[in-house]
Amino acid sequence: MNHNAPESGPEWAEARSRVRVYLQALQVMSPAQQERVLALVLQRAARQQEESPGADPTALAMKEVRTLSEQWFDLLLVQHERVAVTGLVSLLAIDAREKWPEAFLAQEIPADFFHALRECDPRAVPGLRVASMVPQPFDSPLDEAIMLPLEGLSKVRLPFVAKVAAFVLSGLSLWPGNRLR
Amino acid sequence: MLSGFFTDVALASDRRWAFFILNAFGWAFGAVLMAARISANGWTIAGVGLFLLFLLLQAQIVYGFTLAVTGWWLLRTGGDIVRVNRTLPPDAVPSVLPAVAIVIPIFNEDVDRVFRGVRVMYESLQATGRGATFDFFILSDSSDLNVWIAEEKAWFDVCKRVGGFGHIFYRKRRLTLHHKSGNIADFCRRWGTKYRHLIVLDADSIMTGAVFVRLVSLMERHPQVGIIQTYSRPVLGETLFQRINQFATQAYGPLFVAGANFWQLDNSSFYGHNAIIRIKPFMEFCAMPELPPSGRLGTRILSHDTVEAALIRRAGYEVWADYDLEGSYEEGPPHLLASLQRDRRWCRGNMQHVWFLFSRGLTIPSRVNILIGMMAYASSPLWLLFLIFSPILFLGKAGGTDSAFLFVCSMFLLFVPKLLAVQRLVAALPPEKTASTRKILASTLTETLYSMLLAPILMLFYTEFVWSSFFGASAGWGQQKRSDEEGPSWRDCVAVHWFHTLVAIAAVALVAWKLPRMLPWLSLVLIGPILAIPFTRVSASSRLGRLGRSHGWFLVPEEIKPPPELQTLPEPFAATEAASVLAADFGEDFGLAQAVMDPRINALHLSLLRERPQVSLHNHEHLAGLRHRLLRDGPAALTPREKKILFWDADSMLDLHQSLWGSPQTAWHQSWQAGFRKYVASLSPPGTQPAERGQPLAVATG
Repeated sequence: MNHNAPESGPEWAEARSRVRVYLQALQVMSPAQQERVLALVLQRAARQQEESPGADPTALAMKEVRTLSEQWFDLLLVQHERVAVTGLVSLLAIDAREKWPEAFLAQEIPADFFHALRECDPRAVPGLRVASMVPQPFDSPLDEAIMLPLEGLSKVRLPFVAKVAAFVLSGLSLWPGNRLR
Repeated sequence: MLSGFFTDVALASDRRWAFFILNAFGWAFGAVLMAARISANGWTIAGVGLFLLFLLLQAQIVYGFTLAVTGWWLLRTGGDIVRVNRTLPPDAVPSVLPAVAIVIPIFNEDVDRVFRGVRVMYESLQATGRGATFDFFILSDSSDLNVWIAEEKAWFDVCKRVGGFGHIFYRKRRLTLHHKSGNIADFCRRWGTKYRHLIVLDADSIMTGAVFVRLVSLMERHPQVGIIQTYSRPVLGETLFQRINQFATQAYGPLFVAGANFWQLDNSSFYGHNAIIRIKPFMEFCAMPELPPSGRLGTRILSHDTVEAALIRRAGYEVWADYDLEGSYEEGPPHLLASLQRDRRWCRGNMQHVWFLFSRGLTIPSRVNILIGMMAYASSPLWLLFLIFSPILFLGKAGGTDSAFLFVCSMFLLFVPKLLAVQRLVAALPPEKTASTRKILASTLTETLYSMLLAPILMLFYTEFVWSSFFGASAGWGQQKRSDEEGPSWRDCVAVHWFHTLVAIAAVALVAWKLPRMLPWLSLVLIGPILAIPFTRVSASSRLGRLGRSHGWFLVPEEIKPPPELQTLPEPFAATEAASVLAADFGEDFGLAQAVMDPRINALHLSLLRERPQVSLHNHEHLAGLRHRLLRDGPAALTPREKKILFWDADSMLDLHQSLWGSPQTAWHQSWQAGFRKYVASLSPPGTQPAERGQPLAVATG
């Protein structure tokens, strides 16, 4: 295969358009930069296909985007776990699209971009300093001995007719005619 | 114990006795009148029951009246000399402020509003020049995946906009134990020891930077103070319901809080938000115990604030109300149905406090605060019983003059606080502002009529809530539907109120038939439930709210001279374009679709999830199966729990993202295909051809 001329055909066309969309989704909006990254990605994907004939070009191209990103962020950031994720969030945090529109995946890194990326710390929470917080004892004389039987009574389910009868009887017992003396 | 700035134990004792005697006098006066009225017909079982009910209810009315009169008198004479805010010169700030955490527990809230508030408060704090030691924590318990994704994005956007990374944090709890109090306790266990003070806000709270600094300065000045509660003024009301409530709270509220401070002093109430807490004693003494494990009140404490205030007071720390501090705000519910939903939760929480009422070691004022909180709801069934039995008792009996006098006395107790509040508002106006005086009087009169309609409606609902708290009966209604800006629909209003309306109509018919003489009196109570449906619908109107505002009705000071924080709060903030693009194809799952499809949202979500510990082969296979089904069969094929499992698993979310982008569209469910096409279209600059719309693009050759 000629690495300067990636395969044509519908599968490679789909791979190319998918990578382009992905770059747009990553806010790589400069056409020149898109073309540069596209060429690099497709070239690497084509090389991969030589090793795995029959592999889907879209899958290979998208895998190369990830690999390229990881390798690129690995050079810039100290972190090693999920470096592409951290790098991408940092890019968004420093507003790289506006300030350094051509920097993403570039060979030559602007110094101010490098420093901004390194200093960026978009952590959602600070480091832990774990301590205990133990619930206070309940310490009430109105404890289970009194409340629970009362609440247990509340669970008794009476039929509707019984409830109405109880209500009517209660009302009759309080009727004004029932004098105390 | 008065070991802080206010050390005059004798004065405190005198104040509390004086307040108690004033209450007792009013209470006894009413009791004598009622006893005379009942005696006129002879004492019966019903009469004794009615008398006891009257004593309980009279105590509540007299307490409110005494608070208002005391507060009015204090405000009229230059303010209470014993105020926590008075202990420090206005501009006194320590040279070094300690680390302070401002926490905002949220649960499926309006994300845009929450983070607009964070932005406004953060910027206000930075403007004071003393913001460096303050950190914001948004503590999310949200269960809705769409809300969760929106929160993450909004957190990121607000940090980016104000440069808040490292000072504005976002924490999502996996296990949402013990509701809000558990959320705050979780914060304390993780980061509490990094900070000296904790400022707790609600999702709709706003506090100015100056208030934050002032509260911290006061806490630094008084190490024995455990909690300072600000008086948060309701603002930004749009609907008629909100505007009338905020007018009433701002007009009458100052009298009541000043009166409460007169006797509560270092044992004030705590409302759970817009307050500062000293973290160390809070962690040591205020962790919420679980309630006993059976019974309908539940084991989780729903309303923690009053209990926390009582516990920290029991530990010897003071609780003060800083009621004259300007710059602490909140927003109220937009309509009656939303307010009732909140009340149902609060009612159950307050009823749970019966467990604490007799806890050992609590101060008497703490017990009174707990009791007052319970009576706020428990008085409703008592009023209902009173209203049912008093006509029966006085059926065909003489004694009309006594009844009328009793009624007049009760009205005096209820309406004098309003008159005093109006006097205060009018007295504060310049003499030439006669138009303003007319508007204040008109607003007050309207609010009074509104309250007369609302009170019996609330009484019936609160009775149901109290009943359901103890006996588990359902008192609810379905999920509210909101019709754009006009609040609940007629259908919602009918569904909620129809029963009360029918009962009230039947009661009118019964009274007209059997007790026609009582009809004028009882109609004052029954008219509210009869009109409840239109009342709720009309009071939820934003149009009427705006109309009232444009005519100068129900105005509050913050509308006449708005502080900068409230002026900038309504500015829209969170961008939701991707969510709206995906909403059509994914319905309720657009948050999940966003997190899978959009590489920025996916990366942000992943960055906020913890690394997954080693999972078993079984779990690994289970997760792989869920991922496969999600892409092949669409999000609707998974249960909410399954989607949540994937959402919490970083490896799965990464794998889903990579699988979606790295596989042909034919392998996806049609919802993914349609959503992807729209997503792609939304990425392309206007006027350009989207890259992926079916037709193959030319491949450049080198």
